Amino acid sequence: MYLDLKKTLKGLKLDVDWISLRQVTETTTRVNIRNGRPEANNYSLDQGVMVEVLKNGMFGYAATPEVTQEGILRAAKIALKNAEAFSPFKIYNFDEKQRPRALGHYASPFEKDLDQLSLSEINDFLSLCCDKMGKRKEVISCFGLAVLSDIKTNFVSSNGTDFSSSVKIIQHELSVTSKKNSEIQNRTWGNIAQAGIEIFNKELFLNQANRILEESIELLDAMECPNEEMDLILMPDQMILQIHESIGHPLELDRILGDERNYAGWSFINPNNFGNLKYGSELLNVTFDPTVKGQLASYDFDDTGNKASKEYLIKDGVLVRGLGSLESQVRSNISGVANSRAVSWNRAPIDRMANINLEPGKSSLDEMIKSSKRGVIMHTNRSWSIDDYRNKFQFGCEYAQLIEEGKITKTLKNPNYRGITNTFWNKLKMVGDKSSFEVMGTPNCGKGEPNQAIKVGHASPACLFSQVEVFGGI
Amino acid sequence: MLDLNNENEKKALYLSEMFQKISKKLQKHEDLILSYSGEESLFLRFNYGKARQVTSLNQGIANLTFNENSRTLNYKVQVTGVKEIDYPRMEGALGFCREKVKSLPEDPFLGPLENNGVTNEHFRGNLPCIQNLSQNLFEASNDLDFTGCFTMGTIQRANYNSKGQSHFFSTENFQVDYSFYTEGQKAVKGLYAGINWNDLDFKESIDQSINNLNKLKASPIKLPRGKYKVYLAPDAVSEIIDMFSWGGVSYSSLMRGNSALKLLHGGDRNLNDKFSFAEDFSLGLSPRFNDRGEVACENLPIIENGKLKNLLISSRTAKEYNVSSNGAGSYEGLRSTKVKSGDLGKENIFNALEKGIYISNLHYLNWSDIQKGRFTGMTRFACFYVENGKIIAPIDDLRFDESLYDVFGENLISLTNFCEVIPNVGSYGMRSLGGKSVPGILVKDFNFTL
Repeated sequence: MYLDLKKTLKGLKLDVDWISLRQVTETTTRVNIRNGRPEANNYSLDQGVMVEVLKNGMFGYAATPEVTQEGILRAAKIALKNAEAFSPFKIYNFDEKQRPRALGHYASPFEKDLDQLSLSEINDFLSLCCDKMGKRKEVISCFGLAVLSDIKTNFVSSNGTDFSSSVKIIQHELSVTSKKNSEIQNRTWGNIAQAGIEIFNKELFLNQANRILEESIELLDAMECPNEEMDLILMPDQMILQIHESIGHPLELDRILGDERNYAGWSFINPNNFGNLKYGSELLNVTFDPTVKGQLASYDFDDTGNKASKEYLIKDGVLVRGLGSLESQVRSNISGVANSRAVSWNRAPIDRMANINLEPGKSSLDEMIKSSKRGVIMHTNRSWSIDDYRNKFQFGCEYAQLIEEGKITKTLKNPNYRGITNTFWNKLKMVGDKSSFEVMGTPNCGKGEPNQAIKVGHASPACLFSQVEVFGGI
Repeated sequence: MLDLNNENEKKALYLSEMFQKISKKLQKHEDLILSYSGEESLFLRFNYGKARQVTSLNQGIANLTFNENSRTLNYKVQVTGVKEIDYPRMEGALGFCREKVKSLPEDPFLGPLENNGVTNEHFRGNLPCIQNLSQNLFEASNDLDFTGCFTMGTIQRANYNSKGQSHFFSTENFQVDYSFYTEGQKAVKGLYAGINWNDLDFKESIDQSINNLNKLKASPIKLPRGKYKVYLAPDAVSEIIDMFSWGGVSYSSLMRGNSALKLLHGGDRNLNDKFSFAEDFSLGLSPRFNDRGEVACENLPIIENGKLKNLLISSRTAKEYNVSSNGAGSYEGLRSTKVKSGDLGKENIFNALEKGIYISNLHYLNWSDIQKGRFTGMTRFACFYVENGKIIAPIDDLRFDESLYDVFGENLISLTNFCEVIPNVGSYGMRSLGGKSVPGILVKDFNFTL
C-alpha cells in the first residue's frame, strides 16, 4: 500500500520534541525441498510502520500494520503517551542529537531481480541439488533451502530526515545426512548475502552438493577428533561464528551498559578497556564495515539516521571502539558506530552487529598447514555456546582434518574446541590472506527484549590458533 | 452469546467473517486454512531501575494455506482489523495462490483437510494501567540495580478451514521478567507472571528476590573443572527440557537422523524410572489446536518412568512415515509440558545436596553431540557452592558438557515434590504462548569442563 510518508508526518499535529516514521515492507519467498519433494512453499508480505516520538528526553514507540493516516495517527498518540508516562523514570535525557538528519537512498547490488526466478523454477533447482545429494545409498535425508527477500524501508522525521533503502537478500542452504550402521553424520553448505538470483549458479550448487555428499560419507568411517591441546585452523565458515560470539557480542555497548543483562547477557569488557585492552595478538584486525558490496548487513544509514562508515573495532590486537549507537555513545562516552538497527517495523532499534569482519593477513592456507606439527582444521559450525559475559565458549564443527608434521593426514569426526575469549584471541598466530577470505552472513542473531533476530554479516580468512583445547565425541 | 464489549470476542467474529467471505470464493478441489496469530502488547525495558525503551505493538498475521488437489502454497500477510484493507488483501492472496500453485510439484505428504471442530477460549485478565505501573515497578525495586522487561497485553491464536473448522484462543497476560544485581555483578533472576495483576503479589516476588540477592554478596569462588553433585532448580531444568524440542521429541527428527532420543528409541540407552514428562494442556498455557487446527489430546505421555512412550507426530510426518498423528504442530516441539515431581521436599534440598553446587539457572544450551544426547551450556545467575548443606559462596560461572542419558539416567538422584510453572516469555516475531511445569532435580557427577 502506497502512503506519502512525508505528508503523513506533516499531518500529525502532536506536541512532541521530535517524531519519526519508519515504514518497512518485506516480501519473502521461501522454498524447502527435502529428498526431492516439496516441504514448504511459503510467500509472505509483511508491512507496517514504527512511530518514534521524543518527549521530555524519553523515546516512546508504537508500531502498527495499518499503513494509513488514521492508523499512524493512532500509533503516534500511543507512542507519545508511552514517552510521557515513562519520562519521569528515564535512564537518560536524550535529545535530537541522537537522531541526525539523513538524506539519501541505498540500493543493494544485484544482477538479476528476484522475480526472474519463479517458484516452480526454485523448486526444480533445489530438487536437482537433492538428486545430486541423494545418489548414494548411505543418504537418509537431503535438504535444499532458498529464501528470497525484498525489503523496502522509508524513514522520515521532523528534523528533515528522508532516506530509503531497497535491499534484496538471498539465503540458500544445502544439507545432507548419511548413515552407516549406528553412525550418522551431516554436512551443510550455504550462505546469505545481498544479491539477486544470479546467486543460483547451477554448476556451483551441484559441485557443492557433490562435495558435501562425499564428505558426509567420508565422516562415517572417520576417526574421532582427538582430545588434546593442539594447533587449530578455523576455516571461514567457522571463523564467522567465532567472531560473532566472542568479538561481536561482547563489544556491543548496550551489553556493556547492562541493558541486555536480563536476557542476552552482559560483557567481560568494561568501559576502561577501550584503547587499552590487548584483545588478541597483533595480527588481529577487526572492522565494522557496512560498505562491503553485497555483504548481508551493508547500508548507508542505521535505523536512527546515523551515517554508516567503516571503523576499526580492534586494531593490531588492541580494542579501540565499541559497537554502540548514538544513544549508547552518549550514555557511555565511548566511541561507537552506526549500528542502531531494528529487525523490522514492529521493533525499536537497538545496538546490533552489522558486518563485523576480520581483515585478511599475509599467510596462505598452505603456509598455515605446513607450519603446524600437530593440529586440526575445522570446517562449518554445528554447535555453539558461550557464557553471558562472552568468556567461556565451546564450539563444534561438522568436519575436520588432522595435520601431522605439516601435512593433512586424516579426516576427523565430531570435532569441538573450547576456550576463554581473551586468551583464545591472543593465541592467534597466523591470519589467512585474501585467497582464503570469504564474505558470509547469518540470518538469525538473537538479542533484545522484546526479542529480535536480525541479519548480520561476517567475513574472514582462515586463521591459525596455537595450543587450543580440542576434543571429540565420547 | 458473544460479548461484543470484549475486544477478543470482536476479533474472533471479525476473523471468522473474513474467512467465511474468502472461503466462498474457493473453487472445486480447492481448500483453505487460515491460521492467525495476533497480539496487542506493551513492552517496557528497564535497566538500573530506570526506563530504557517503551514500545506498544498491535499486529496480527494470517497464514493462509491454499491446497489445490495435492499441491499446496502458504501465504502470510498482516491483518489490520480494517475491512477495507484486509478483505482485498485476502482476495489478492487467494488469487496469488491460485495462480502460483498450479506450477508447483505435487506434495505427496499433504494430508487431507478435516473439520477438527469448533472451540472458543478467552482468558480475560486484570492488567495494570500504565500510570500505576511506572510507579509500582520502579518504587518496588528499592533503588537496587534492577533490570529486565515488563510485558503485558493480549495474545490471540485462531484457526479456520474450509471444512468448517473454527478455533479461537485469547489470553490477556503480563510478565515482569527481571533480575537484580549486586555491586559484584552477581544476580538473582525473577519472574512475576500471570493474568491477574496484584500489587501485593508483585511486591512479594520482588522482596523474595531481594532477599536472595543478599546471599550473593560474599566473594565468589572459582571452582576447578570436574564432576560435582548439583541441584538444578526448576528454571534450570526448564532450560534442559527445552532441548527436547530441538531434535528430541520430534518423530521426523528421529527419522531424519537428527534426534537426541535415538539411543533411547533404539533401546541402546535408558533413562531413570523416576523421570516422566508429558504434553499436558490442562496447564492452560497454550491452545490445544496446532497450526493446522488439529487438536492434540489433553495429556500425551512422552517419557514415562524412563521409557519412551510417544514422540510428537504432525499430520505431515504421519503421512510420510505411515504412522498416526497425535496433533503435534508442524515443528513437532513441546508446547505445554509437565514433568512429574518426585519426593524431595523444598526444606530438604540443601541437606540432600550436602556438598555440591546449587544451580538456579542455565544459559545458552546447545547439543555438543546430538547423536549421543550430549549437550553443553553455562551456569547463570544465582549459583552457589554448598558444603554440609550450607551455602559457602556464590560461584564463578562454569561450563558443563553432559548427556541427557546421565542427567536423567543413572545420575538422577531425586526430583522435588513441587513443580514451578514457567511460562514461555519468548517474543521473537511475536509473543509466545505455552510453557511448562517442572520440578527441581538432584544429580550426581555433573560434568563441568571449563
